[in-house]
Amino acid sequence: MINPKTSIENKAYWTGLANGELLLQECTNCGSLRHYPRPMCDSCYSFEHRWIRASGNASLYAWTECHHAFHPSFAELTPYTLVTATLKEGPRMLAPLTQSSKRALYLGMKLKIIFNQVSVDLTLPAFKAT
Amino acid sequence: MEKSLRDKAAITGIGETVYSKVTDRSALSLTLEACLKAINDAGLVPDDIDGLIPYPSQGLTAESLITNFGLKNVRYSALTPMGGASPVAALQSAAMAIASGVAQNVLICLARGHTESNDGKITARLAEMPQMSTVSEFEMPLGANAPAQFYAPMARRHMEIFGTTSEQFAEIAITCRNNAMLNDKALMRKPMSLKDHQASRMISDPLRLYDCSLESKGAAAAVISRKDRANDLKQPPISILGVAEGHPDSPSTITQRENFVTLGIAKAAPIAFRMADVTPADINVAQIYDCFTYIVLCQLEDMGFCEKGEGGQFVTSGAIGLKGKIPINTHGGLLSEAHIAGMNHINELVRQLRRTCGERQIEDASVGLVTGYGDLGDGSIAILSR
Repeated sequence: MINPKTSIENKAYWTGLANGELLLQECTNCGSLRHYPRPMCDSCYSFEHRWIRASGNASLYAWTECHHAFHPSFAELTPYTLVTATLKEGPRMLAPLTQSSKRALYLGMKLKIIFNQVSVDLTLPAFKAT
Repeated sequence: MEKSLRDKAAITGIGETVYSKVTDRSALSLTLEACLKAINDAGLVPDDIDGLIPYPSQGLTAESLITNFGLKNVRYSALTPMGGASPVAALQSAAMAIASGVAQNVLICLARGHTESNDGKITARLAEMPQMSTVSEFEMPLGANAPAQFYAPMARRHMEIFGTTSEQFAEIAITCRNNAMLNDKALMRKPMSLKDHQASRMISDPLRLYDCSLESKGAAAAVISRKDRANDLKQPPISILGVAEGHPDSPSTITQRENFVTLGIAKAAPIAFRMADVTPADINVAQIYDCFTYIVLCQLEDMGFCEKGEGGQFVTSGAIGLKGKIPINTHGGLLSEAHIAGMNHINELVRQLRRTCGERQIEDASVGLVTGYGDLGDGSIAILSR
């Protein structure tokens, strides 16, 4: 397992996942959404933001099926699929596809987020096909 | 502005160590050997070097070069931390230092030296690179741990949108292998067939083993000098006509990039071509950064050698072979010569333009192009002429 490095910028995101919520940053000045977490809005340069709960609905933008594990903690999972998902709210994120969703993949395929608690301290996102 | 760096600087010396799969020598030791050869090749002595742009890996610094060579006259040093785009980006920084009068002879170098076993270490190595911090924070814990996994979704997207195929990727790997068979320095010299490529194991779909570059050890270096003084040196100067670097939108992760099927070089190439005052049709030979086959195909499109989406047909048309209209990676590239992060591409282009490549020499090569690609899409390009 690779534990993410938490920081003052990303702590709310990881805490959200642990609570079963996908949180995105919304600029409170111009309303732009951004992800992954970062300090400043790239539309209006405001530092002010709030965290909003995303629906978890997404569509498939790209993917790869990983047959070779480059890190030992993923060796037993191969082959596993990583999907690039476009969230209904706009931003994209990368996450694994659940094994039970294995089928012929196509661009635009509907996805839904799930939350996998992998340890006491860590919950990771994944997507399943809907 | 457009012609600001045109013909101001020239590559006057190149040097390389042997390339190998493993080594018991440090990155610094290999670097010093390659640098000394490049300085000698130029007909200079170490104290003629007044600018340094080392590749920031394995602790290599300008200071370590100054110490080991006992350099007294260095007045410029810089880093271009763009992964495999670094060496060609260093050509731009060197040309800037020279054009501005700050430096006369700039040394650029890159090494991959001894490491303890590589097994499972690539993730840790990448996580230490500042430019990988977003991927390290948000994607590595999910199983995206190495470049093949970062880049494969771009290749997949290209295939889904344009109908590009794995067999078309194979053509790039086979072309590099055919060229490597004419290069004594190359590490991979056994013939590769389409069947071999298709039978190679899947790494990160759609990238097979033979779509991936080698892991190699060795070092390469080059000296860049004032063009107006380069004619007095030992070798025919190879002039920098156009040079640029380009950073993709969303350079910190590929996931958020608006357009998956263009790279940073799409921004750099028009600048370099305008500066050089040439078009893709004028290029006699191209050394194109080939960490993965798909990355070559995408760069060919981004630079305008063919339309976006037509890269697959372009590479299977015979265009990229030694007898084609734009021969690529005449040394075998990162795919079959060695992975010296593209510093070996610069040196091969210099050899082609000096016309010293023997069996693999492109006849009458006068104008050539070299690219770099690194990290998560950074691009660099230089157009050189004899």
